[in-house]
Amino acid sequence: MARWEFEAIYKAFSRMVYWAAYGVTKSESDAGDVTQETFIRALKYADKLKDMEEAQIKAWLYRVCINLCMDNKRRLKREQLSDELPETAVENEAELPEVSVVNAEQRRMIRQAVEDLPDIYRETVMLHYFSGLQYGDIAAMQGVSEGTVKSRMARAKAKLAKALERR
Amino acid sequence: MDKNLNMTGQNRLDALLFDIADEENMKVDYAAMLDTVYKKAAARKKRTAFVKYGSMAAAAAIALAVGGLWFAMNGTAANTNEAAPQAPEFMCGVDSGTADCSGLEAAFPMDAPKPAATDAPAEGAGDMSDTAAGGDGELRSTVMAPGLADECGLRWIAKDITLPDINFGAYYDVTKDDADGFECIVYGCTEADVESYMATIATMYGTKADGMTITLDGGITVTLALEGDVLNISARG
Repeated sequence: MARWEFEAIYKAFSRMVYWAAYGVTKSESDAGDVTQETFIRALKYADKLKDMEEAQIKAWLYRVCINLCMDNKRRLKREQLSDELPETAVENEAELPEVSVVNAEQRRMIRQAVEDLPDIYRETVMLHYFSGLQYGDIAAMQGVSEGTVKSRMARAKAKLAKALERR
Repeated sequence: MDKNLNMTGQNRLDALLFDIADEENMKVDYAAMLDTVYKKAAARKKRTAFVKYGSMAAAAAIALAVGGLWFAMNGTAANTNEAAPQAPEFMCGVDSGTADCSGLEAAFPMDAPKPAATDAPAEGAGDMSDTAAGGDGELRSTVMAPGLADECGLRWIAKDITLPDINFGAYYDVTKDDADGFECIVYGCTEADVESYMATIATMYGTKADGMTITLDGGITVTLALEGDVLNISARG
């Protein structure tokens, strides 16, 4: 694989890998280490990646990333979710100001609220908002249905909204 | 009305999260990480070459010492009127020049320079000697995965799909087996194990693999992904 091809893959997927790792490790340095190690593996298997479809590359990188996170953490816990309907999300519009008027402290609070989410919700939020993946991609990589991803996202956002209302 | 308020609230939360995500993402130095990736990958290649050729040199030195000892004990009459043997095939202890002593020639070439780092394996063909577990890539475990009978194979019960049994690696875990998919992790694998396993799947189903992915009858897609010495076997469809 030519260097420019590898760098095209890196440019396309480094953000996804980094925030997927961050979602699990909750550590910038660990996420950086995992991202680097993931792409070192990608370099090693460049010949195989070259023949893969984009979706396969994405899934491969995600799997490598998550497994490396597992190595770091020794064990990955995934919470068991029930099949209950998603909670109603934001009801009071006044609690959420427009993006432009949110100050640094409020952004920090929202960021902290994301960090405080339970593992599976945080990972889903990270993959969608930070890694920039669509629900279908997240579902494919996590091995669940799109409905499950939507359900998790709805619950995550409900928890975030409640956490922000309390502060 | 309430529903509209909810939708607006959701949109604002979405917008806020995306905005915060972009802001956080701007702080990540992806260029520096890429630089480190290249440096670490290059360092590991050098280490791999050093270990590989160092091992060959050590083996050659031992063979030389044993050969020298043999001659000291047995070869005195034959060698008195001849020059000391120089050719590698003679040092291998055989009469003809047809023996494969390329290992010795590589370690002690008559005229050629010593093997350089550029002789190291190409990217993507790695011998796994820089795995996270620190294995040397030469060992192949033949331990049968615990609890697996010879004829059982690996089974995705939800879709009634059978895969070849796992007769490599140290042990394995089936981590997912439901209508959405199947996943199995095998620990202690080598690249050769993975390629062999994919070939076995292809033979079992009479179909060709596409890299590390193979599509079976009924649209079932099986993917093998090896990271270090850990193999992920996943099936979807």
